Amino acid sequence: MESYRFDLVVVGAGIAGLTAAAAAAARGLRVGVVNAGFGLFVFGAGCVESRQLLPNEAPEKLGEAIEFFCDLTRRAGCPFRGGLDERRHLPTIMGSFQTIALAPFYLWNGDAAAQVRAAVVGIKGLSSFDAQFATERLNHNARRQDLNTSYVAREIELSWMPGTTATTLQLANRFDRDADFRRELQQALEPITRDTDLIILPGMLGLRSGLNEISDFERALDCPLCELPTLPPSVPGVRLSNAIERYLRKSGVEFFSGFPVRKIDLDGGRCQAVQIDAPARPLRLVGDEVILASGQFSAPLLGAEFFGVDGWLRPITRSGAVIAENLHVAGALLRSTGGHGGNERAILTGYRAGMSVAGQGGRHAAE
Amino acid sequence: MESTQVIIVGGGATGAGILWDLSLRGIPAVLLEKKDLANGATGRCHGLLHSGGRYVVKDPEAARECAVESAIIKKIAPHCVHDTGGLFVRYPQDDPTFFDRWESACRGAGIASEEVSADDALGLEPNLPKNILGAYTCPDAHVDVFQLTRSNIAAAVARGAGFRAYCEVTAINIEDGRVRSVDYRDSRTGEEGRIACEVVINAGGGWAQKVAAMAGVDVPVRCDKGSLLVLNHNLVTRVVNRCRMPGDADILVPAGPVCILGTSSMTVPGPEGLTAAAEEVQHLLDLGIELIPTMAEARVLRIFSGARPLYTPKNAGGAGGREISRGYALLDHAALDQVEGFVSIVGGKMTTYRLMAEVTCDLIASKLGVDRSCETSEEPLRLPVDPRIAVKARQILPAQAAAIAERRLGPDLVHIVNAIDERPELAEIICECEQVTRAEVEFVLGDQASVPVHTISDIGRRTRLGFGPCQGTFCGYKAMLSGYRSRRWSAAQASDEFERFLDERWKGQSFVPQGKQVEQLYLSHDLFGVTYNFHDRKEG
Amino acid sequence: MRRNDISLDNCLKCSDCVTVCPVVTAHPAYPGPKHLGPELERLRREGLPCDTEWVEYCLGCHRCDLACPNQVDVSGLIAAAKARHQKPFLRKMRDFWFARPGLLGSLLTIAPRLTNLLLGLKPVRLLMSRFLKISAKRRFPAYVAPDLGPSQAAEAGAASVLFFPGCAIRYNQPDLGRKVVQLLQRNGVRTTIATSGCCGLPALANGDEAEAKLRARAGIESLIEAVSSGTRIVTACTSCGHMLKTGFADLLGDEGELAEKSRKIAESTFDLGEFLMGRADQGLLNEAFQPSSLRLAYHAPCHQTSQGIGRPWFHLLRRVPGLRIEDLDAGCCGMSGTFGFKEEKYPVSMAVGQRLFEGIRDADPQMVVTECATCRMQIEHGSRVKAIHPAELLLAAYSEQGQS
Repeated sequence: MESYRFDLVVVGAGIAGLTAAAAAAARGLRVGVVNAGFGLFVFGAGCVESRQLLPNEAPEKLGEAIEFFCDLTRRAGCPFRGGLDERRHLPTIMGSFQTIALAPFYLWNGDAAAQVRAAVVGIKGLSSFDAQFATERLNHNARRQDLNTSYVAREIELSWMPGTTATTLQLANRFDRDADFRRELQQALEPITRDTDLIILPGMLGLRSGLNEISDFERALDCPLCELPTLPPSVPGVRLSNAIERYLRKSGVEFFSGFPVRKIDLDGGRCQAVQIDAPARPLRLVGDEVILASGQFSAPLLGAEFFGVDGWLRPITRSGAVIAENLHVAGALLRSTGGHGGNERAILTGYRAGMSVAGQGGRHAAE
Repeated sequence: MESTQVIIVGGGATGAGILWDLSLRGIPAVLLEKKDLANGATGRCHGLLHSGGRYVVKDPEAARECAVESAIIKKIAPHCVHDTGGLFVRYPQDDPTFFDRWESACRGAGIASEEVSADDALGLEPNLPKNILGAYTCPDAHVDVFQLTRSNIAAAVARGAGFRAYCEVTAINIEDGRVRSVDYRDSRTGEEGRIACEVVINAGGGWAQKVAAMAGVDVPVRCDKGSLLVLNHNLVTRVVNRCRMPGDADILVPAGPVCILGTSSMTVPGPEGLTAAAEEVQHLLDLGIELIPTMAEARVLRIFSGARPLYTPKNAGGAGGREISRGYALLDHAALDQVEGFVSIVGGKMTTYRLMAEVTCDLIASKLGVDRSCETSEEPLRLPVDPRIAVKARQILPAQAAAIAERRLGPDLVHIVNAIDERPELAEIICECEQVTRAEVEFVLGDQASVPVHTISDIGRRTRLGFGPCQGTFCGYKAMLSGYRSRRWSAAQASDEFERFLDERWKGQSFVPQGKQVEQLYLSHDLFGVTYNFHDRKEG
Repeated sequence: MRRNDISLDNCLKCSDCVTVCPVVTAHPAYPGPKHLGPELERLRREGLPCDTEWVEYCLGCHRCDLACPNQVDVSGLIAAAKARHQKPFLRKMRDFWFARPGLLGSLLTIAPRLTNLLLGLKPVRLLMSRFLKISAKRRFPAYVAPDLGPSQAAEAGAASVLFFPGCAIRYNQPDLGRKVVQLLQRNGVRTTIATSGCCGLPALANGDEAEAKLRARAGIESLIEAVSSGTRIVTACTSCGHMLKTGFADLLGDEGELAEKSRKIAESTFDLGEFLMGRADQGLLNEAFQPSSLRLAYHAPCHQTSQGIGRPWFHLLRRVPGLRIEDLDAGCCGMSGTFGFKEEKYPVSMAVGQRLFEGIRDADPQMVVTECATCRMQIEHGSRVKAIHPAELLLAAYSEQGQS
């Protein structure tokens, strides 16, 4: 059976998995990441909500983890803004507000507490988004929540359309590929900037763009800009995922994408290998350390004995026995109630797992 | 005061059938429904158009009725029927003597049936278990109950009848032993009103007892809960029955893109607030796996429960749900209870709804001195589609979307075609699972629709929007925007409607077994609960 | 339950597949994999008419399958729809030949010089464009009389493999085939050359399921004996490798004995790079490489990525001292075998390749390295940079006159 050897194998490429991989890779470890599909964080572009962690949960490493994550996103070209003490009210396509502590820069300007006049811009023919609807709901909810921003709806028309209607994904692809399209979009937005302080667009500013492209666009427009995550596929989130993955690949992290983990070989109190369901025969990835960060539905990989984790995020049984000493759990899998684990928890546990592994040094780093 | 001749209470298949029958006889009528059409037992069944095979051994009379009625419905409403045919499969674990009894009873009842070998049966339905002994064919079919109800109402409305959804009857006013009028309350607006009438027909199904009580009359109805599982795709292409005495979970019906397994049988206090507990779901699934073993791996989309309204007059004794006759009863309360102008039609089953309407209307017609006889067994429920419009639809829509729209809309297809002609962006497919266009959604939301909609779920009952794998997660939002854009709802109303819709869809999935649908549900929660901070009251 | 059925039930409509589809990025009106695959298949089961021209535009790159968090066989469902799709006559004629590179190759290499002369003539290419809908902008690869050298007799104690050359190597690049044999030899592995014909993937890609099944059956017959005695099959063409690993079983999965044989063949099939990495794992790789100063860019072919074996060649080449290699990580090249040759699909093919071409331009390498023959064609066509199979470079690195 063929195997690939790593200092660390991370299962899952959500916020927790990517952060863990980055933390270990930054310490010089040879890291392999196994994933199938995007992490759930893409829906909301990885925003960290202000209300996620209860005060008694706040652990000492949190500040460090957040700092690391912000640095990671900066290097990846999609920097996060904000901090743990921030509370920004960012709009959604439902016209509600999310209370956000940290968000990618292209969402961060949307704070509803600012006393500004913001234009929600719709695009003629764009499906699943209605600026007028969002505006009405945003104004209503802003009044209800004592937020100062007032919203107006605007519609622009673009000469380039893929058909009679378009999706944000199609527009984002165009944004990536076509400078003329970017120029046209900018020209269409310009008149709106004259009587508003902020442009709010449905998320469409590219899947492969980053700080450079979007800042250029914003500068040319000469008006602050923010995006709204839309129904999936949500462009701002996919952009973030693409950026971090691209950065990690460049940093030497090896991705094994597209095949689920079939089995984690547990033997003698250690995780011997991670078996990927590759075509023809399973691919065995051997990691000195393994981090499982593939969401709530991967709990069965840990076996029926799995009950919780110890202080080092190692899975334990009900009686407290460690299931595998070189295995760590991060992200949504740590949440007993199921569902989205929360990005703050993902950053914290991903970072902690990655760092505790990095603390062990790495044998395969030399290559 | 507003007035009409006949008021029908209850917008299930029977009430709708009565409305249509009366309109063909030229008798003015208004149908009042407390929610939307097919909200009760009609909308919560398999959608099996019984050939009669299921009842043939136990109740040959009912079987004969089914055989006749299902043939009529195939003729008058072909657009509602998917004539799949059915199989009665002989399983080795079932009583072999029943097979012969079934076969000879079919001959007696005039139900066309042929024996097929096990190999041939497996050729027809490869998902059947390999150890079956053989099977019989029968003319079972699937009927889209929502379409059927809607078509009856639409046809009646076109002839001047009235239909009001979300209109709950609050009182039946009786003076001098005669029905004089009905009070109603619009449950959405709170608006109240009174309609004068000569006759009230109680077609309340599970609510029939409650309706009758308003007229001071007791109509004993027992509600027998049946729960059904919706599976994501067609595991079988024809109706598969287990050839045995009717029991739990022994029918699987291919119902459009999904298939439906049912049912259980359990007496419940009333028709409201029905849920299926996890054990009940597991029980159904276990039996379903006996029927079709691949079901063990199949995805359950949702679970729903309906209440069969069984008429239980005092002399019926203490029989349980399946023992009570599925036959119907027409009660003339003038003779029974000295209330002139009040009639109840209770019991029965969806397949015989037309017959139930016929006998009811015969009685009403004689009461009112109208001597036109019933025409519903001959008169098509819907006019054919203009072939030129159908061709045009195929030019402007993808093949499958055009075929679906044609089947669903019939002559109304012209409105869709014209709307897209005028505004090409309306060709957008809003519900991907069921290929519903924005044009169709805006049409059913609009004034031209003869059976108006009020909620996103109502749109679903007209178009199947939200009935597919995503269970409204993606299309619900777009339907909400359509309602807003077509000025049907204000932003606040639209948002409220969407929240209610999500609630209902999430509820239907809350007991699905572990598997992909649970993941789908979490996806929906993540999106609208976490990401949009919009809706977080329910947890799966 | 049949694989397709599970796959159908697994779709959560999340659109991850649409997000990564290269055709969606290049052809704005393309409805995307979710619709063409699971969505339409579900309706097709209901008996609705679901045929659409768009299925022809699927590249078969499998990126949708890989992006799916629920392992829906999206591209498999599209391929099944493609097999049912009705095509106009001229395209049917053309695709008949495109589906049969083995037959085409054996005919065109009867007189290879004449073939190459004719295929190079502008009028001939214009005629082909007019009557066979083959883009005149494309140049056909040169055809060479097949000569892969002799098989090597098995030797006691020495590892031996069965080399499955595939049509591109057999008819267009037999020299590459000979180099593969040499490379294996330098690593102490003796090679037998399989007599098999086409693997059948082009037939599948051109919607000719019957032909694909025929090829799969023939392939199984020609390979099963060696495999049963424990010999490993090695491929140097990623598409052949992908087909041997997944396609045979997909096509013949319901056919009892053949299904079993195809599973055996799949388990025994190794990409050459994967095979050598396995040797490296066991400390058996000959690492006597001469230093090199080459500056290369690596492009991972889609059918390499879809094999789920990581990037063996990228890591093998990095073992050559001094050699610099950068992974372009730029997605599908857009060629997809015969897809890029088709008149009506040429613009899409080039638009898909745009990101790769830009990546090559930015990296400015001396050469691009990639395992797939049609990827190399596309890269040379779209970027004017020479593209080469990594086996050639690795073999050259052993030689004292290495290209340093």
